[in-house]
Amino acid sequence: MTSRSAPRTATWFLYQFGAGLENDAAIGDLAEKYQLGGSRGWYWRQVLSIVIGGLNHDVRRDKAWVWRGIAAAWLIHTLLMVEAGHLLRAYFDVLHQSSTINLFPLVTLKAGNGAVQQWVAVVPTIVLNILILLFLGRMLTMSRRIPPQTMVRIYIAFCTLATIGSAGLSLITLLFNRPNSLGFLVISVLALPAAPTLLLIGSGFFFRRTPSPAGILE
Amino acid sequence: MVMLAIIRIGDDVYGVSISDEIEETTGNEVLLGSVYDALTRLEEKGLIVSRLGDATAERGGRAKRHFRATSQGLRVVRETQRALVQLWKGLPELKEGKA
Repeated sequence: MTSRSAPRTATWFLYQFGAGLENDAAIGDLAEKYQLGGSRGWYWRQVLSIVIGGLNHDVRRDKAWVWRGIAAAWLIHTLLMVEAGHLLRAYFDVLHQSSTINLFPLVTLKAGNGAVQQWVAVVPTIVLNILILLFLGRMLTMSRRIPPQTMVRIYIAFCTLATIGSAGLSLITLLFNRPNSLGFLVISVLALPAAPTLLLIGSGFFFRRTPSPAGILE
Repeated sequence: MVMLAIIRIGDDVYGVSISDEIEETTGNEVLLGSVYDALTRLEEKGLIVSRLGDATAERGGRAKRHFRATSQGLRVVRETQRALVQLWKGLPELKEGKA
C-alpha cells in the first residue's frame, strides 16, 4: 500500500493543542482520511476544527473556573511585566520618558523619539519577557481545579487573541499616519508565535514525545 | 445528526465512518472537530459510550475510538423522532420555498 505523510507541522500542532486523550484517535482518523485523498489545506482545516472544538469544550465544561484561572494568570502576567518595567527603568534612564509602564516590552523597540538610545535596553527587555513567559507557563500547570494542559491551551489562545487585537490596533493607528505604532506592530507580529512557544516550553508540554506523523507507510 | 449516523452505521462506528456517513447523506464536507465535539457531548450525557480499539497500520499505528448508542440514547432518539413527526404534521405544505 502506498501512502503519503500527513503534514508534520499540522500533526505537531494538533498533538500540542488538541484535546488530550482524544488526540491519538483523532490523529489516526485524520491519517486515514488523508490517505483517501485529502489535501494539505483540508488537513489543516480539520486540525484547526479539532483544536478549536476542544478549546470550546474545555471552556464550556468548567466555565467559571476557567475564567477565574485566566483572570488570575493575566493579573500575574501584568504585574510581572510592570515590575520588570520598573527594573528596566532602574538601569536605563532613557525609559523614564515613557508614560506607560505596562507596555514595557514594546517601549524599547518603539520607533520614533529616542528610539536610537532605547535600543540599548532591547536585549534585557527580551530576556525579561522570555523569563516571564517561561515562569507563567510553569505557573499555568499548577492549577489544581483545571487540567494543566487545558489551562495552558486556553491561556495561549487568550494571549494569541490579545496579540492579534494589539496588532490590529497598531495597524489601524499606522494607517492614520502615526509612525510610532510601527514598532508595536512589528513586536505584535513577532510575539504571535514566540509567546505560545515560550509558554509551552515553560509548561513542559513542548518537550513531550511528539508522535511520528501519521500515515507514513512504506 | 451524529447520533443518527451512529445508529445507521451499526458496526465499526468511529470518527471517520461517522463523518463519511454524514457527508454522503448531506453532500457537504464535515469538519471532524464538530463531529468530536458532538460525540463528547453525547458521551457526557450518557447517550453513547466509547471504547478504544486496536491500532491499525493504515492509521499510522493509532487506535480507533469506537462508539455505540446506549439504551438511553436510543430512547431519546425515539422521543425526538416522535416530536419531530408531530411538528412536521402541523406544517402547511411547502411550495416553492414558501410555507
